Amino acid sequence: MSDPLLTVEDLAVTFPDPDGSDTRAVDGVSLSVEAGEIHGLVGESGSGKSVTARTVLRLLDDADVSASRLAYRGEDLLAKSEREMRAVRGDEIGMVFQDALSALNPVMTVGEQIAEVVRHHGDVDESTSLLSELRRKYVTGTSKSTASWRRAVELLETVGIPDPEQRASEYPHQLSGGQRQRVMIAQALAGDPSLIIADEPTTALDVTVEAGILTELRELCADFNVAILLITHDLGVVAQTCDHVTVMYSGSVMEHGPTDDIFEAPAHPYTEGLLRSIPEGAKRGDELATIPGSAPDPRDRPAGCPFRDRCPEATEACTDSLPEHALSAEHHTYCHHRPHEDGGRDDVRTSPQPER
Amino acid sequence: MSTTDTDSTSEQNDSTAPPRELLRTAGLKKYFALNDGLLDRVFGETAHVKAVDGVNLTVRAGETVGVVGESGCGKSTLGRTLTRLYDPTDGSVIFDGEHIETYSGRDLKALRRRVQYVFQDPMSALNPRKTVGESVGKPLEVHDIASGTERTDRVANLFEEMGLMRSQLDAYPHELSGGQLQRVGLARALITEPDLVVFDEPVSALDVTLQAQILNLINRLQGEYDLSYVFISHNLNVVRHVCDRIAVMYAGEVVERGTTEQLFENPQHPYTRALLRSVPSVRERHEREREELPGSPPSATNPPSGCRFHPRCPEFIDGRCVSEAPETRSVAGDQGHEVACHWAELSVEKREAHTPPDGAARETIEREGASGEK
Ligand SMILES: Nc1ncnc2c1ncn2[C@@H]1O[C@H](COP(=O)(O)OP(=O)(O)OP(=O)(O)O)[C@@H](O)[C@H]1O
Ligand code: SF4
Ligand SMILES: [Mg+2]
Repeated sequence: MSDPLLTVEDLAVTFPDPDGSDTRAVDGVSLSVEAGEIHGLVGESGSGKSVTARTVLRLLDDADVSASRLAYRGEDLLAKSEREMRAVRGDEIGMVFQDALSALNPVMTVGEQIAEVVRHHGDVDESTSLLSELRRKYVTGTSKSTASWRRAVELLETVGIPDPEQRASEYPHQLSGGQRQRVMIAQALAGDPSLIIADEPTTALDVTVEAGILTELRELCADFNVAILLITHDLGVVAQTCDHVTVMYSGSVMEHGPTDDIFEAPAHPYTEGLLRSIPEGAKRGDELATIPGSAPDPRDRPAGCPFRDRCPEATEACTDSLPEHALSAEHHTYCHHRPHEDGGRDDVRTSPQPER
Repeated sequence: MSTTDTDSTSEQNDSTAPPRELLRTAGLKKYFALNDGLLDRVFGETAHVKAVDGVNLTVRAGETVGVVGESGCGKSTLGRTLTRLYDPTDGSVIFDGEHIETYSGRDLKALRRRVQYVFQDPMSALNPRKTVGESVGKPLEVHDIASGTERTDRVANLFEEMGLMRSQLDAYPHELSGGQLQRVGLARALITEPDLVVFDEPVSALDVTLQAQILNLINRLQGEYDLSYVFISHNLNVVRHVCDRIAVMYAGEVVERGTTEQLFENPQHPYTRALLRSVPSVRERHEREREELPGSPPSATNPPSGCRFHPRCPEFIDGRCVSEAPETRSVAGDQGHEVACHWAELSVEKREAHTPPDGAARETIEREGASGEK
């Protein structure tokens, strides 16, 4: 296997607090994204998914970041200057956020916003001097005959927006939530990136719309060989969209592996609990399996395994370290008691109900 | 499957006597006036958002009725209108045999004790400057139920029942986590010992493990306190787990209703079917592709003519869909199951033989349908 596109090793991110109670949002996260794959980063709110993503893009300037490795195509991202990072953000790594309405500029047409990215990062021969951008922005608008505008329309079509020519001349508020999310994806694609980081891209949408956006993302991966780091708390989304999954809990990775392994043979007690809590298939009135308790405060996280206070299998050993075990080349878990000593695995189902 | 002609609810003909009917709405409407310019108002052309447009809903004692549909279809407005947080524009609401749509003053206050609404965002129902113990105990005072130590005891007991700690009585809302706040919201709704509780997306903002905890709690409380629920949600997996019966809303109207089993095993309306095909699935992730519903949600001020779903409908038949609003009819052989759709009225053979017109043909039908209509 060639080098992964993105490698994160032992990432720790701390938000310093003058009172001394620093928030350790991310605590030793490792993950790698291969070219062309969809990699799911899943976990509860507050588990550090977004902080991990933003650190990769170096978007957090008030945090202390350390990592034994943070590399994109083998290049150290922590060593790059802000100017070099800007180039990475548009040309190499695109970004899609949960809330498209606040991420898009309300007073610019969506075509204009995409064309701007095309000019700065794409392969068109148009001036991007401050003066000409200002003129476009405030006076003339992008001419409909330029390559950047045509590319913008094309991108809107690629992401499945009907009547792309007309839509390109509309403002964000004139589009539906699903269409705005597609515009964001088009904008992320405009710089021809190899990786798109999508942070809860469909969380605010109806399932009927979400299904379309996720299909779109999968097709983009296949057609353009773009890799996607898909951040979500929704296990259903992960199950039907991703090739690989990394499960986070309270700032740490609990388990990662191919999607089928994670859903069919989860190795970490937390992943098991997570899958059992899904109401899918449960009958009216059934008691759902739960994980009692709640996640630890990131300002005051215990040493060792962060899950140990809620874990049915925790022992003394879990209080001091979090060892990594490989179940296969790709499937790893971080737990003292998994795999079980005898090498066998629990028979785990993904719902409390047996198949009907 | 063909349909019969009865368009009223077939509930009366149940052979086993159904439990007492606790709530019934008939033709319930809630319109919001848009703030138009002065001229529009002078000429009486104020546009209205038809958030709820003629809904019949029945809730029997002890059952949970689900309301599902896309964002903006009017679920929350329905919930707030039937609990009289909003005044209905038209139609009636009968609660425990009494017409409550005209209630005001003291009657309304008494009603509030028996009918509770749990907001989507528990924070919005709590005073940020009051301890959660005070907020939960407040209704006891408002309704003259208890005061002093009796009040304190009642709140403390309920806190324990909700899985909260007594020490959290003195916490302020911002000091609690999302799951804890949701429990406080439940406590506040239950403190007056109501008969009916309307939950508006009670677990949508919660992670799956917290969601399971709260759903278990909601289920347990129903048995313990003999409660009836209306459960508003867009999460079909959750609704399936919690509800006895379900109403599917689209553009302010109920397009299909039935028992949970009827809707999931034998969905009739093309919208319900599309909704079910789009649900994410962990268990069937290889067997089933999720499908999107094309097009955009309908305008709430100027909904499509005829069947409001027609511009997005994968089964679209002909001009009737554009010009004739389908009536709500019982599904033959499926007691209590009702649907409003021209296609669903066709026989199985006709449905199978039917190919929806393609884009151009459909546009022609739309144009003719629209002009043929007054
Ligand atoms: N107070 C109000 N004034 C004007 N319009 C309103 C008001 N409340 C709701 N609406 C409109 O009524 C329609 C139905 O809204 P409602 O909040 O009932 O939808 P919903 O089904 O609960 O959606 P969601 O799933 O997003 O919560 C929408 O078009 C909404 O914009
Ligand atoms: S009435 Fe016509 S348009 Fe409406 S749902 Fe049925 S087939 Fe579709
Ligand atoms: Mg709502």
